[in-house]
This record gives sequence, structure tokens and C-alpha cells, in this order.
Amino acid sequence: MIVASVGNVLVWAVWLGAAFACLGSAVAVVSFTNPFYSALALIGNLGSLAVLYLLLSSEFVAAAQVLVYAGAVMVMFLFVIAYIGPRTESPWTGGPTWQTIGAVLAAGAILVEIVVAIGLKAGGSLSHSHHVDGAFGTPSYIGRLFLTDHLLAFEITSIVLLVAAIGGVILGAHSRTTADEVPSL
Amino acid sequence: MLDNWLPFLIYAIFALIIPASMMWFSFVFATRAHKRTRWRELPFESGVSTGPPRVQRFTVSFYLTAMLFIVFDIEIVFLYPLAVILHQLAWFGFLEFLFFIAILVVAYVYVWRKGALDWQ
Amino acid sequence: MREPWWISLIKAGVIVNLIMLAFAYTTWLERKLLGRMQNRFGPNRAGPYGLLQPFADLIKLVRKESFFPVAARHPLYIAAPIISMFTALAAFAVIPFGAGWQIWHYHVNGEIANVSIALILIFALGSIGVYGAIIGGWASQSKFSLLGSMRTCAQLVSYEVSLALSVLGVVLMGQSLNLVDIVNKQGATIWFFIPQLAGLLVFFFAMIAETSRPPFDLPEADTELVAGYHTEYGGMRWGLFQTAEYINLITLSALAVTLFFAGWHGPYAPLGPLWFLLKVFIFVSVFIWIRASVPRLRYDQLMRFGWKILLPVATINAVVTALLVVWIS
Repeated sequence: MIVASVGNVLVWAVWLGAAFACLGSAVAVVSFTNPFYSALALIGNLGSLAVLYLLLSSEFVAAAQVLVYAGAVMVMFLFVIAYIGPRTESPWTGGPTWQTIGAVLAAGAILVEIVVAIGLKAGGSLSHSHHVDGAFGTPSYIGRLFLTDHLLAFEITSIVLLVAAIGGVILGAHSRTTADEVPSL
Repeated sequence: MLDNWLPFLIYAIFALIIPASMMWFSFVFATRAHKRTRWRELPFESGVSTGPPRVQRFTVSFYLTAMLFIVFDIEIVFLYPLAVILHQLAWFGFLEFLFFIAILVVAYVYVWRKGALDWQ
Repeated sequence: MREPWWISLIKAGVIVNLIMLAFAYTTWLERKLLGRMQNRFGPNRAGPYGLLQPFADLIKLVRKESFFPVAARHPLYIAAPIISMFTALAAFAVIPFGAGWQIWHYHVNGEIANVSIALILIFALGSIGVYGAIIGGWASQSKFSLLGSMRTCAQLVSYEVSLALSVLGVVLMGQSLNLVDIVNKQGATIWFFIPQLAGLLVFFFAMIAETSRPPFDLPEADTELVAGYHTEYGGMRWGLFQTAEYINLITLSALAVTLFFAGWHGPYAPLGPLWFLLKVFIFVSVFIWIRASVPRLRYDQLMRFGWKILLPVATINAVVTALLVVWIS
């Protein structure tokens, strides 16, 4: 922690800024009608999440968040938006459909799950600062977890990546053959 | 841990102020045009152009590249923390490392054989 | 070692201005060297040896008329160059340039921020910098800008994979992602360019592509694309993109020096920052030399080179290094 109260105020200020940026950009994602703007707002959302991770002493997770989600996945999103072409019509018109109801139900379920998980895990106290030492969240700490406690998850990740690569190529190859019939740029 | 990030925060503010002020200069010190002409503000085109481009589609290769980038980027993010402590974990760690890479090599070979690495 | 916040403030102010100065004279150096290599003088009017040329350029760019393309999305059109340059400048924060000093009874660190994820932070900022190009190209609403930005983006992400994988060997040997640790490790053992020659080569090529310099300057292939993603930019706004590119070049050169050539280490330790500067200068000069010597690649050649040559070489290098590291320890 930064010594003296000035430091604490600074941490609070950064936390408040990141939290509000997170909420604001999340609202922006769903309220923009242009998918390009929505994607940009999502990048802002992921970035402010990274700041929140950083404030929780998870340096590595914060950097990975920016590198993978904000840096790689969102590039993919923007490519897809450019590939499909800018759509001007609103993505959601009319009253609630089964999709909307489903989305609200799923979001509610996730909220309940998070509250329950935190409640069970915290066991009454929300502060776990005594668990966190200097090495917490550093790359070597994470690396040790990968190869000891979470070995199976780590190895399965590589298989998931293999599946992702195959899926991407199959989807791409499919649209390649269909694109050949229609002349494009 | 957070006090290591304070200098970064200070520096980042500087790194933001400099381009922002340069952008501000580009408004403040700009020469005023004697005559506003629409032609100057049209998008570049060698000859005929009357405005922004119509909706156009890009080749699927861009999409494929981005997809492969995600796969390999995640691979790298997983390998970095491993690499930091590999010397402590010795042969067990190396075998896990090798297994992880071997599966991705399978993915790589598949992608190569399918021709997704060729730009079209 | 902790330093008071006001030392960090002063240091950040000094360093950021030094980087801007270094950028200004990199453009001068590039024009001068290119000129000499092509049997001409290069800039020689503004000041002795044209030394005031960067400032003349600055004034000229700032005085340019401020205009917007008809269909431009204004806030994004303005934000894009700022994003580009911010990420380029911010990445330098974690690069160590000295051993740290004891001035009176204050300790001054030889780097701006000493964080455990320094290396990933640089790559993360680089991947955010890509958005400068995407947003700039899209917000201009011009055919050439859009196509240029897609190309830039595909190139940058392709080579980012090789760039990040090529330093895995260095991470394995340095046993840290913290650049200060990596530099100290090299000072204590061996400069990593000797055991990591393959890594250095991959890093070198990937770095040229990441800064989109010739022969990998496809984003600005003026014969096909006019000027790529910044076709519709002019004056200082174009200047910001250009600045970002040169600062990226300087930062990545500094990163290469840090990872492979032991950063500030040299024969006489108190001269640390000078050794660092000298090594970066040599790197930058080599890039200018390459620009004068090699013709531009075709886009499919560029992609093939990145995915089919650099990536496998980087992977093999990482596996072999891992084997050796485990064997020795």
C-alpha cells in the first residue's frame, strides 16, 4: 500500500474512476446502435476492469486481461464488424422477445451466483488482505499455480486453443468458398 | 505492490498530456483557410469521389488472421508465467511445457495444411 | 527501492521530454543518413548541419490548416492519434536505463516504474496502440484509410505473436518478466544475445514489422494505398501518428537493448545511461540503414514470413532454451 493517507485517497480515486468507467462503458456497449462504437466501449470496459484487477494486487491478471481481451479478442470483433459491414439499423427493435427475456434471466442467474460464491468464499469477512503477500499476483506466483494446483485446467487450455484454431479455420474456409462465387474487394 | 505503480501513473499522465496538447496546438495555431472549399474535405480518391465509401466487405483472410492471433496470444500469455519459474520445476515442469506446446503445434500444422496461413 | 513521489514526478517529466527530443533527432538522423546513403546532403538549411530541422518541421506542422474529412466521425478522428502516441510513450515507463543513484540521501531508481509484469505491459500497450490505426482509419471514412487500417492491423497482430514468442527464451534465462531483473541477470552472467541469437533475429524482424518500417512498411505502401490509415490526416494530427511510429521504434530498440544487450551495463558502471543511449543509437541507425537498402515486400510475402518462418523459429528457440535451462539447473 502507498504509505500515508494521501496514497489511500489516490487508490480510492483510481478505484472510483475505474468502477464508474466500467459501469458507464458497459451501459454504452448496449446503448450504441453502431456496432463499431459498441465494440470500442467494450474495449474501455475491459480496460477499466484491468485497472480494478490491478488494484486487487493481481498484476498478471490485469496485464493478461489487456493483452488478450482488449488487445486480441476485440481486434477480432472489429474485424468481424468490418467484414460484415457497418449496419445502420438498430440491433434491437420492438418489444421484448424470448431472447431478451432469456438474457435478463441469465444475467440475473449470474448475479445470484456471484453473490452466493462471494458469500460462501468470504465466510463473513470481505477483506482478505492478510492472505496477500508481496508475491501474490506476480507471474511466478501464477506460474506455480498453473503447474501445481491447476495443472489439469492448464493442459486443457491448450486443447481448447486447438479446438478454437480448428473452428476458426473451418468457418473461414467455408466463407472462403462461398466468397469465391460472389466477386468482392 | 501498488506503490510500484505510482510512478507509472505519474508518467502515464505525462504521456497523455503531451499528445493531447499537441492535438490542441493543431487547433489553436492552425492557419485559417481563406476560402472554405468542399473539395479539400472530400476523402482522397484518384479522380471521382462524392463522399464516404459505400459499404464494402473485406477478404476473410483478415478474420482468419485475427482468429489465429487470439489463439497464439493466449498461448503466449500462458507460457510467460511458466517460463519464469521453469528452472524451479525442473523436468516435471519441462514435460508440462512440452505437452502444452505439442498440442499447439498440432493446431499450427493443421492450420498450415488447410492453407489458412496463405494470404489470399 | 522506494523513491518519494516528487522524485518520480520530476523524473517522469524529464524522461518524457528526453524521449520527445530523441524522437526529434531520430527524424533528423534518419533524413541525414538516408541522404548520405543516397549521395545527397539531407537537411542542411535550418541551423548548422540542419540541426534545427525538427523544430522547423514542428512549426510547419502546427501551422497547417485544421480540417476534417466530410464524413469523419469527429471525436474518434481526434482521439485516434492521441491513443497511438499515448501507448507509444507509456511503454517506455518500464525500461531500465541506469543502475539507480544515491543523490544526497534520496534514492533515485534507474527506471520509471519497477513492476513485475514489465514485459507483458509493453506488449499490452502495443496491442492497444493498434486501435489508434483501426480507429483512425475507420473514423476518416475513406476507402484508402479503411483498407490501410485493416492491413496495418493484420500485420501488427501477426508479428506481435512472433515478437512475444521470441523473448520467451530471454524470460526463461532471466527467470523474470521484470526488465530490471533481466538486466541485472545479464550483468551477472552473460549478455543474452549470445545464447539467444535466434531469438534476437526473430525479435529484430518482428520489430521492424511492428514499427511498420521498410521493408515491412505495407501499412504505408504509397504506391497501393496512398498513405494507409492516415491518408485523411494532415498537419500535427498526421504528425502525432508519425511521432508514435518513431517513439515505438525507439522504445522497441530500447527493449531489444534491455533484453539482449544487458541494457545499461558497460565497462564503466557510472556511465550506465550513456552505454544505454549508445546501444539504442546503434540499433536505430541499423534500422535506418535497412530502410535505405531493402525494397518493400508484397503483402502475402509479409504474412508468410511472419507466420511460416518467424513463428516456428521462435517456438523452436523457446523449446530448446527451456530444455537447456532445465538441464543446467
